[in-house]
Amino acid sequence: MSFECRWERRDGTAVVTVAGELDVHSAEDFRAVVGQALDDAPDRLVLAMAELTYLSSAGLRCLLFARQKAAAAVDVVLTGVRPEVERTVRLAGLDHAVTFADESG
Amino acid sequence: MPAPPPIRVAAATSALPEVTRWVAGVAAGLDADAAYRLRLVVEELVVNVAEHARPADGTVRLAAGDAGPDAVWVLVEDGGPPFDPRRPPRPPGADLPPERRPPGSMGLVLVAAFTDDLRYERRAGRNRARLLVRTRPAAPG
Repeated sequence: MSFECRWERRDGTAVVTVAGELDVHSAEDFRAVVGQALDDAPDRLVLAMAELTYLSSAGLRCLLFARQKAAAAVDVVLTGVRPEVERTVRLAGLDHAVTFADESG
Repeated sequence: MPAPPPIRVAAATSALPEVTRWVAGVAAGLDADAAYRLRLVVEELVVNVAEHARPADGTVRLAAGDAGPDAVWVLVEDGGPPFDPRRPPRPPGADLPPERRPPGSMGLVLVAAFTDDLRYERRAGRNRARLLVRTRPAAPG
């Protein structure tokens, strides 16, 4: 049960790349990295999730954290989301709070 | 393949790796989608016991078996206060859009959506949630 999370700035966008499993064990790591990325005051927050293989409700709460911590004008965009992860996000009703995009997002 | 024998784990999130390994054995005959749902549902129920029920003996018991060629059942049992995972208490802010709602109620929403059957009984002072997950036909389109 691995998890990796890092971020980089690309012009106005902060890109957080997550890989592995986002659950109760990795949530704190994710929040710390997203917090750093948002402290850099981006115009847009991209969560690159192509390598994210598992998302539990603790992971959903992480997405809520990102949405709530980002300024209202900052789009939160999920890219490359796997179908099982996207389904989980939609079931929780969070698809209204974030935007889905392909990997070029 | 016969289901693995029951296990008793700590009612704590630290037990999740052990739960995940056990569930992988239970899910051996399911397709990838059903195995994913089963793992998530069992983990959510264990986390729910760990974070809310806090049974006095500090443990959760898990048992499983086959329910036909393409389905498995899992029993999640704990000695905490009565709690029916099918009817969670209405969370504060239930009328708000999800992004403005206090966190915490989403796990059981996933449990309801990802199980193909979910039963609950209170017996001998214990909560017994019995769930069923089956391989679903591919969705059209």
